[in-house]
Amino acid sequence: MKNFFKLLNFELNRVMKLLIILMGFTFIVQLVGVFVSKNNYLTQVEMLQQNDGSSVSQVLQTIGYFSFDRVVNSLFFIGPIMICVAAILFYVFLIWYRDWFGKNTFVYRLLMLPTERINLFFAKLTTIVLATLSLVGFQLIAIQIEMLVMRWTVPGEYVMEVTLRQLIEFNKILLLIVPNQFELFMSFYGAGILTVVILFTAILLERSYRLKGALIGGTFVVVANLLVILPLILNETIFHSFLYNGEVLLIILALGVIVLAGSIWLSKRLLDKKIRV
Amino acid sequence: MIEVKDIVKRFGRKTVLDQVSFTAEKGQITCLIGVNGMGKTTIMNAIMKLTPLQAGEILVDGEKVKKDTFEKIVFIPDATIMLPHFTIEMAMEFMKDFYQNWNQRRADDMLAFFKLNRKDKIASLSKGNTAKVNLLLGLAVDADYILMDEPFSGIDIFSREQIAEVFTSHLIEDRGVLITTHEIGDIEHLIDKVVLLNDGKIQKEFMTEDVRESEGKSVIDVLREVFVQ
Repeated sequence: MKNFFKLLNFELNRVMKLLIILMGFTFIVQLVGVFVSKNNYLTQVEMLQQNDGSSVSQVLQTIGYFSFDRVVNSLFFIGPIMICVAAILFYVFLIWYRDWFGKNTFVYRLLMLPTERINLFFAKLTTIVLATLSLVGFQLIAIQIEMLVMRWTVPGEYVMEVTLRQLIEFNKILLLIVPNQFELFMSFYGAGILTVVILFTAILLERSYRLKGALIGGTFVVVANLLVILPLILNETIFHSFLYNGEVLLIILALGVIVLAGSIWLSKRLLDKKIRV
Repeated sequence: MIEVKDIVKRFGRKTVLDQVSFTAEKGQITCLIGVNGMGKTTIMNAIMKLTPLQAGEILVDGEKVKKDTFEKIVFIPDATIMLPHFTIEMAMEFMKDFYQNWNQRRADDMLAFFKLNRKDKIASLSKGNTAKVNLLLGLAVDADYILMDEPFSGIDIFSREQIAEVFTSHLIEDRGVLITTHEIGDIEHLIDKVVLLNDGKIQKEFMTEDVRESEGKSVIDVLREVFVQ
């Protein structure tokens, strides 16, 4: 266990620079988004007031209030989130492959450490999970700061206050990264962890059997994912909704646990017996 | 004792190691010799479980290699295996963190002996100094067995002399060393045992002292007989 935490600490240090860059990038671009949305809105307000001599209430009737929702729905806000998601997905592969293909073949050192090799797997997995949660947590803090900036820069009479909860409820992407119900949170992040574990196993298959392993790994990813969503597909097609949604979810959960356990078992076996430097 | 028993390794259809068996004892320097591509490095990798075998087994002190074995056997490959942005000090810290058998005093001694600067980044080191750092990180673990893959490969004469000096020092004493090298001249007088590998098989295994005494031949004489024929 001690070695797991040492490895985790080591992996977290390695990802830290990337996380700081992503957080900085997200915050700056989203802040630019606040100013662009605000400027667009205030330009419209100015035009209405100058051209038509509209009062505040007439302006509000015509173009509505300015709420943070306008910022959230812009590419300036969604774009960085998408880039962070892509970066984490990329890092799922990088976290393994750089140990083989970096300037020095660090995987030698890692595999020769006097510790269970599966600790490498769990340390890398936990790093991905913590990196994701850190980005999500940072996003929530960034939203609060961005809302504050909005309040400072847009005259109060045009601002409609929305809470973070409302923002999340009305935005599909935010709802996906911060589900507003505990069950949804567990399902989304559970599915995410399962996906990473399946991808890790596929990577280890490739690293153990090279080209042949890449084909087996690809097949493994497809089969493992299909297996998990099979109850949903069967219930919709062959069984014509014979099972309740709750029942289908339970079966999916059970299959998810089986695939997770199987995937970890296979990864341990590959790391112990089949891996090649 | 490291026991390599009937190991078979194939890469695709090519058999690189065919029923290879030999032993490397504690307190002896065993040299694995063969031309390039004969599977010397593969044997080292197999001992450290860095490549799977098709058949055979490898035992260290009568046991299969498991996580605790890595405290008593270290492998010093011919390439750098530490992160390039690490300084020598960070690399030592890393090793100290994971190895119970890490001997900091010995590491400091070697640092002074090799005249290395602990603040230097690994990526900025010359080939000779990189080899010395590799050696330092391996030898500072109080391990019973040390595997070295081509420790003299591609490095300058003065570094070679310094590294060769290590073999006669207390750093190696009482340990079991398994070494592969082309530069046999550098350490010929230090080798206790030679294992000749040819075409994936053990061609000959002999104690250097015996050959010197009974046949009056040096290691190079025997190599010439085997490989030039």
